[in-house]
Parts: sequence; structure tokens; C-alpha cells
Amino acid sequence: MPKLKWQLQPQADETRVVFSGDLIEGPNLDELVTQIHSNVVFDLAEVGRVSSSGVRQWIQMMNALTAAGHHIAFDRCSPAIVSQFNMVAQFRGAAEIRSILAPYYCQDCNKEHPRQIVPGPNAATELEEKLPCPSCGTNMEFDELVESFLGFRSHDARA
Amino acid sequence: MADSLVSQPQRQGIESSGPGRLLVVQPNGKRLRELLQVLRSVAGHVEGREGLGDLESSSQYDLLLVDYDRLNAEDRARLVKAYLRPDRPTRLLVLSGGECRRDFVHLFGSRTLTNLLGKEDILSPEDIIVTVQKLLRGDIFGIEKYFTWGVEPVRMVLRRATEKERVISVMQDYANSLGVHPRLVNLYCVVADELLTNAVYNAPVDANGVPRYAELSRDVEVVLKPEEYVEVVLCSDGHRLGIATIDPFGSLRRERLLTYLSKCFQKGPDQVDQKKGGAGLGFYSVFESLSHFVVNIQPGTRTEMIGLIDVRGTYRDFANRNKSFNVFISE
Repeated sequence: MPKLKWQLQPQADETRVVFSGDLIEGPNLDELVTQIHSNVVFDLAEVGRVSSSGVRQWIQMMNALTAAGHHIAFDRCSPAIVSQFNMVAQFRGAAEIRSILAPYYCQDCNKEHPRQIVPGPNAATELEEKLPCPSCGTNMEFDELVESFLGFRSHDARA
Repeated sequence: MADSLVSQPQRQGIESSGPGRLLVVQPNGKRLRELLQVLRSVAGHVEGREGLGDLESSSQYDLLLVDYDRLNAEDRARLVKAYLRPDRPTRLLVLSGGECRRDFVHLFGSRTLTNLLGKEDILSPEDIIVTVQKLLRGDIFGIEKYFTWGVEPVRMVLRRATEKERVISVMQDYANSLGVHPRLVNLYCVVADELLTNAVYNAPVDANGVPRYAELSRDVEVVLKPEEYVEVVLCSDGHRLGIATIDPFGSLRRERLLTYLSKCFQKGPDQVDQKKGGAGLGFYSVFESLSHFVVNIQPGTRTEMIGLIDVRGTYRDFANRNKSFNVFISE
């Protein structure tokens, strides 16, 4: 995948920023900060690989936006992004997490099919459900460990 | 001491023709027999004991192998205390089914944990044999040791920083051609990114051992001299997918690696470095993305970093398996 790119979509009371690509060294996220003048929601469905260099740039961007007084929300967080929530304490900062993409895997097709869920109190129960593969109809299971995938929610409980 | 397992050790000894004297601490009789069965094939003298006992006496052995999960809190503390000292009893190999993970901050921070093998319900003898042999014989280099004999590795060379994405692309194609789970392919590329970045920016030192490029931003080009090129080796056998990066410097210090792992697992405010150069998260990211992370160092000569991913089954199967980690130093 190419390096991280973004598209700004101004909406009524916030700006939606749709990211795509790999969060690795190189993207000038400082430039993005200068383009944001309102509360912002980051659409992270298409973010693939995340490197340690990319994580630090991301945290610096988050700190700058927070310091400027913007409310930040994350929406449709890819599994790679959810991994960062669980691994790096500062990655999500004070952002609200509106939804995450839970990976479901079809062993017959060797393909993943994401399911958008809200990481609320019923999330763990939802993730125990099986879903039919949209391609071949085989039953798919949630392809992660529920407790560790949703581990970032315990940070909310402690806050 | 109230613990009868510690005060009444039972010994079983057997001689074979291999090098080294091993002591295995495993309270579960069935597990102990399984381990002895494997270890008798590689070591000259193998004894089993049900409890940690007198750690001082383990200095007569070349290697102490301990089931960490079976130790009580007191014995775990004794173990760490013994290995905090410069005159450690002997080399230590820890087996753990996950209990160890809760203590990573302390175990890495105290430099106790340099050899860990994740254990599952069914004992896998291959990794124990390879690890013990490397510890006893000192023959530490080579990714092929972790794969079935007969596989054909793929070899590449990295000559400059901007070639990294090309190498990662080749690796992605390689893993996809094997039918590996898509998310495991992604992890494979994450590991490659971090290991290659480390080999290009952190490994090179000048004649005085001063890092040459470590403080550069990771998007700045670095062109290596021919004698500094990074060797990349890919391997797979249907059980595992692997990558090795070999740099010709041997500049990594074990203490630095363990300190970074400890700091990252702590998840404190200093988890991410603010200094020039790297973010200090690379080794942690690699560790968490792998089934087995191996670092082989010949100080002043070369460092080999090996990443192994167990590709059997689903991503959930991968996430459910316990991790292994080794740092070997060639004297």
C-alpha cells in the first residue's frame, strides 16, 4: 500500500478526514494539522501497516490538535489501528472511538471481511456471533481474541 | 521451608554423548518426563527437579530450564533476585504458557529474561532442541535452524534506505504466494519494516563505535557501503514464515534491547521516545507481531535478527499462541 494520504470532507459541525495507506515515515501530518479548523473525525478504515515512526508522528499530530482545542473522534478503526490502541498508551490520546472494524475471516476464501461495531458494553457479546461469508456463505468467526482486541476499553474504565 | 517440592527434590540423571549439563525444574511429573525425553537427545547430562531448590547449586550446570508458570510468587522473586546479580548462577531458559507476560516489565527490566520459549498444551520439541543447542554449543547464527531441512530460503540485499519498500513488497508477494492469512502477511511486513529500519539506521557505527545514522529522521536517505549492506533472508515451511536481517556491525547491546522492551511493556508516559531518530517502539512492535523473536549478536562483527510467525490456522490461532524470545551472544 502507498504511504498515508487523506481527504478532507467538511461536514455540518465537524470535518471528516478519510485516511488511506500505510502510517509509516514520510507523511507530513503537520500539514494536516494546519488544515483542520474544527472538531474532527478520523475515518481509519483504510489504514494498513503502522510503523513505529508513523506512531510517533501520529501522536505529535494528536497532541497538536488537542492543544488547539479540537475534539477528535476515530471512526471505522481498522484492526491495525485497534492494535495501536492496545499497544501504545498515547496513540488514541483523548479521542472518542465511535466504531471499530472487527475482522471476520473466511477460511475457505482466505479473505477477511470487516464488521463495523461500536466498542460499547455489548461489543464482546456481538463478537461471539458467527456471520456468513458474503462470497461463499461459509460461517465466519471473529478472528481475534475478544478480550485483547477490546483491551483498550479498560483504559476508558480507569479514566 | 514449607514447600515440600522445594525441600525434597527428586533427581533423575542420564548420560548421553552430547555437550553440557542441564537442570530442568518442572513440578508436573508428566511434563518433566516429556522434557527429559527431548533433552536427553541433545545434552550430555540431564537432571530433573520438581522445585527451584537451592539456586546456588545450579551453578554446576551449563543451563537451567524452568517452567515459570509452575513457580510460586516466592520462587519467581528468588529467580529474579538471583539473576539480577552479575555472578548469575548459570544460563537460564524459561518456559511459559503466558504467566510470564504479566511480569515482562520486571523480567526484561531486571535483565533476567533473555531466553523464553512459549509453551502450549502439546510439547513442541523442535524449538527446545534448537534453543538448547544454541545455548550449549554457541553455534547461534542462521534462520535455517528454525525450519524443516530442505526448504529453500530467498535471499536479498538492502543497499540503501529507499530500497526498503521494494524489499517489503517482495516479501508481501512471497507471503501471499504461500496463501498466508492476510493479517499475518501484514504483520510480516510490519516486522520487515522495523528490522530493516533498525539495520540501516541504528546498526551502523564508526570505528569508535559511535552510531552514524541513528539520529536521522527515518525518511532521510542512507546509502550504505558494500561492506555495510544488509542481508535479508526469507524462509517458510508451511508451519512458519520467517525473515532474518543480518548487519555487519554487531553493535546492538543486549541491555539496550531489554530496556526498550521493559519500557514499552510498562506503557508509561516515556513509552515513545522524543529524541532525534527512532521512536523506541521498534523492538516492541516486532515482539508483538511475531510468534518468536530471536536476536543473535557477535559483538563488533554482526547482528542477526530473526522473526518467525506461526502461520497455521487463523489469526486468532496466532494470537492465542504464547510467544518466544531469545537473545544469543557469541563470545
